[in-house]
This record gives sequence, structure tokens and C-alpha cells, in this order.
Amino acid sequence: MSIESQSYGYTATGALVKPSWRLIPQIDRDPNLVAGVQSTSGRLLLWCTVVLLTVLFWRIGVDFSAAALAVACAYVARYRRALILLATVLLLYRSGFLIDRSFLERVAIAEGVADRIHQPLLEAVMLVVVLALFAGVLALQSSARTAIRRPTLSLLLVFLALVALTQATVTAGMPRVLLWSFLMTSQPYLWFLAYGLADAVKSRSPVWQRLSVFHPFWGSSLTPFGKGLAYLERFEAKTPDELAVTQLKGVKLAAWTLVLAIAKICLGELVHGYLQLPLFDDNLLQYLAGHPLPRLVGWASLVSFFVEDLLGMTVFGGVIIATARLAGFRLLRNTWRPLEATTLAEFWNRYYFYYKELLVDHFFYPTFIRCFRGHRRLRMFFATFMAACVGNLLFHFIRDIHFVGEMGLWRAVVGEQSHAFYTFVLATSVGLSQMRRAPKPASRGWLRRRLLPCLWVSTFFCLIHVFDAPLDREHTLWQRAEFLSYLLGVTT
Amino acid sequence: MTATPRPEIRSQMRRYVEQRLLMKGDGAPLHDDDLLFTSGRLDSLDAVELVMSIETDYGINFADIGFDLTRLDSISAIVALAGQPSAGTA
Repeated sequence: MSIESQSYGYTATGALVKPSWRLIPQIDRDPNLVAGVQSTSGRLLLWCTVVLLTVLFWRIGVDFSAAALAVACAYVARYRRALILLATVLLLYRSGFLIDRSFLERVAIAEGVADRIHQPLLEAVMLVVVLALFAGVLALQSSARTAIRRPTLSLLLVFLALVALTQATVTAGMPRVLLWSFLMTSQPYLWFLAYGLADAVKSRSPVWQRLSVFHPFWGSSLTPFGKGLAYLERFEAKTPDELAVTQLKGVKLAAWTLVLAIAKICLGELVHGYLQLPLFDDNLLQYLAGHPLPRLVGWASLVSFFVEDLLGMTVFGGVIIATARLAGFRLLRNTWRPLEATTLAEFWNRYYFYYKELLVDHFFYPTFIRCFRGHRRLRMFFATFMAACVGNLLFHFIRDIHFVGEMGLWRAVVGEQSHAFYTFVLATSVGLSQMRRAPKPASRGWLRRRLLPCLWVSTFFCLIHVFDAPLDREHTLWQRAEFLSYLLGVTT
Repeated sequence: MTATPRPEIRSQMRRYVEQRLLMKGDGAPLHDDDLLFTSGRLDSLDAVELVMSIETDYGINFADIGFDLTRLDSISAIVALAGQPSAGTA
């Protein structure tokens, strides 16, 4: 795994590479625009541009509404932190603080206590409890005397122990409902807390500021885009000039994301509308039902799924990062030219940067500094394996923790088999790719140095999607392997 | 092993970082306070190579001091880390 650079466009000799034509102009490099955006009329123009982009995004079903809040946050200087907190609370309130309400209602009915509890009241109380607990833990971690030495490991162990406790017979009834309520309220913020705890020893910011970026208003999945407050502070614009450049970068990225979002829609229309190609999931289901579609159709749907997934990830991350930039945080992009990756490690890095960073920060580095310190290559491979396989698996298990409540712990764990295989293959391949990574000799030519490695990397990730999508607990590893064999022509 | 003087650490680390940047095709000027990792110029693989180099050359055990990428994020930060009192005693 590596944090591939996004910032430089230099050749080996140091000369800047200037593309002759760009679809989105480099507005952040125009000194007149940078100066203009700092004036009142410039700010107004920027705001209007953001509103226009929001409307265009809305027309194609993408929510960019937080961008207006972001611009407001950027201009309030001293009160920026307070406004970030307000904006975050507002948007979290709008999305029900990301609590899976229907799951909790089902648990209450299954435990026969639905008539004895008031669900919204329980959610509100649990939210207060969770926030107070998080604040307390962050405060304790800030003190050297009370700090936990392995915060992420401790956090995960506690969370998983509570999940296991939900399965105990002694917790049947109301205790189980309360336990699930606590778990489902804290789960969306778990990795934010992990970053918060890691930051606590190096950041002197008050606890409320650290909490304000738990699912910040610019957007996130369970993966924190922008990590914790300490990371964000390093990317925060410190001068009006930096703010202007950062915001123009935000506008530029939003415009590019809009282009890609439209491209994704057009591709979907062409492939699934005009050409009537089935979705990959349907293709798999048809095969499992004993009515396989022609092999060529299977390949076409797998490739189209891969391309649509890349576009979807780019749009999803682009909207979030553009919004953060408009708020004054010059974050690196989440997805950056994944098809240009020449190694497996590089692809993973370019495809979902903040998720890869999460695994690197919480699994790779901690393993690397502690295990196999005397064996250079084994040390690297094992750390990569712990991140790409163990960390990856744990992340998804926690993300889909509702399966434990719905299927029971054992079936939920067994249901991970296909994804476990996916992460094992991924980790082993990335680990080997990582160890082999070395500068390619220039004499190999463009075809062997660039095109063939890029094609191999894309083909690899396209193929292992069979074991990863759809990521449910229904289809076994064997069924997916059979489908792949069919695609490869090994079986009929 | 005796502690390495700071100017020497600085020049050693500068050479090392510049070499890694050049391997990535980044020949842009490098100042002592330029951000290396959070700017995206170096990646996590460079970080672990740097860790191994510092462990070997300056006797620092990251398992003891805790890993914090910000302590490797510029030439100045690396020099401060490698030149700290506990270093060079291994």
C-alpha cells in the first residue's frame, strides 16, 4: 500500500509537464483569479458558481448541497470550528444520525419489547450516552497518565466483545435491545473515534472540535474522509491566498466530478438501456438459478460493472473532497486515475485513498513497527497482509454488523467466506506487488512499461470483483468460484 | 555508537529523501520544511523505507516511541527525530 502522489506533474529531470489541453481549466493557477476570489465580488461569484454546480448536480441526482455550507464555513475565520460543528450536527440530524432505525425496530419486535419502549426517545438517549462516552474517552486519551497505548486495538476489541455479548442468552429481551441500540449508534462513528484517539496525544484542540469532524458535514462513509482533526489542521488554509487557491481547486474538482457523473449516467443508459446488458448481480443470480446468460454477456456485464464502479467511486469521493476544499481544507483526492496504476498496490491506493489510508494508519504501520523487525521483506509483507486482509475484513464485518443481529454471529461470520477469500487474494497479491515494486527501466518502452501493466492490474481487479460483489452473505465462495469458472470457460 | 551530529543527519536525510523523490519522477526543489507525506510527494512505502533506514542508522525503535507520520513529514522533522537524545545509543 502506498500513498500515491497526486500533486506533482514532474518528469525525472524536474521539468514540469504541461498538458496541451484541459477540459477543466487550471483556475487555481491563475494569479488574477486567485486574487479576484478574495474580493467581495469574487466571493459572490464563487458562491454563485457553487449554487449553479449544486443545481446541476441536483438535476442528475447527486447531492452537493453541503457546498453552500462549506463556503460559509470558509469565510467565518474565527468561528469556522463552531460553524463546522453546527453544519455537521445539522446534516447528521437530517440523516437521523446514521442510525439504522429499521434494524433496531426489528430487534425490539423480535425480543418482544417493542410495546415497552419509545424508539425515538431511546435513540436520543443513546446518542447522548455515546457522545458523552466518546468525549470522555477522548479527554482521557489526551492525558499521558490515562492514555491507552493501543487505542484502535482496544476499541475494536471492546466493540467486538459487545457484539459477541448480544448473542449470549443472558442478554435476551431488553438488555439485548439496549446493547444493539448502543452498538448501532456508535458504529457509524467508530473509525472517527479511532482517528480521534490516535490524534489525542498530538492535538491540543478541545474535545468538541475533535467531535465536530466525526462524520463532518462535507460527507463521509464509515471511512473518515479527512481522517481526524490533526490531519485536517495540516490541510487547512492559513492565509486568504491559500483559501482562494483551495476553493478554486474545490470548484475545479466539482466541475470535473460533474462531467464524470454525467458520463456515468450516459454509460449506464448505453449499456443497460440501449444494449440491454444485465447488471452484474443479475448475471450472477441467473447463473446460480441454473439459467446462465451467454459467456460474452457475463464478461461484458463484469467489465461494465468494473467501469461503473470506478466512475461511481470517483463521483462519490469527488463531491466530498470538493466540498471539503470549499470549506478551506485542501484534502487530497479520494480516487485519482486508477486505470493508470501499473501495480496492484498502486491501484488500491488510487481507487479509494481514504479507505486505504485507514487500513495503513490503523493496521499497516502498527504491525510494521512491531512485528518481524529483523526480517525486512517478511516485515513488509506481514504488515500489508494485516492491513489488506485482516483490517479489510474487520472493517466490512463491522460495517455490516446488522447481519449478526439478523443471521446470528456464526452465520454472519461464515457468510464472510467469499469476502475473506477476496481479501486474502487481494492482500497476498498487493503484498507481493509491494515487495517487487521498483522503478521500471525506461528502455522497456511504453507498451511493456505502461500499457501491459495497466491492463494486467485492471483485469486483476475486475476479476476478483466476482468474489466481492454483491457483498452479501447469501452467496458462497464455491458458488462465486463456479461462476468465475463459467466465465473463464472452465465449466459450462 | 556515538550520536551523529545534526548537520550530518540533515545532509544524509536530504540525500535519501531527494533520491526517493527522484525515483518517483519528482525533481521539484525540496526545502527543509516542505511536507513530504501529507503533501502526497512521498507515500507509505517510502515511510516504511525511511523508518527502516532510521532504525538501522540511528538506533531508534519506533515500537518504543510510537509511530507518528508527522514526525517524518519534513527534513526538519526527521532530523529532530533522528537527533533526539535516545537516538544513536543503540
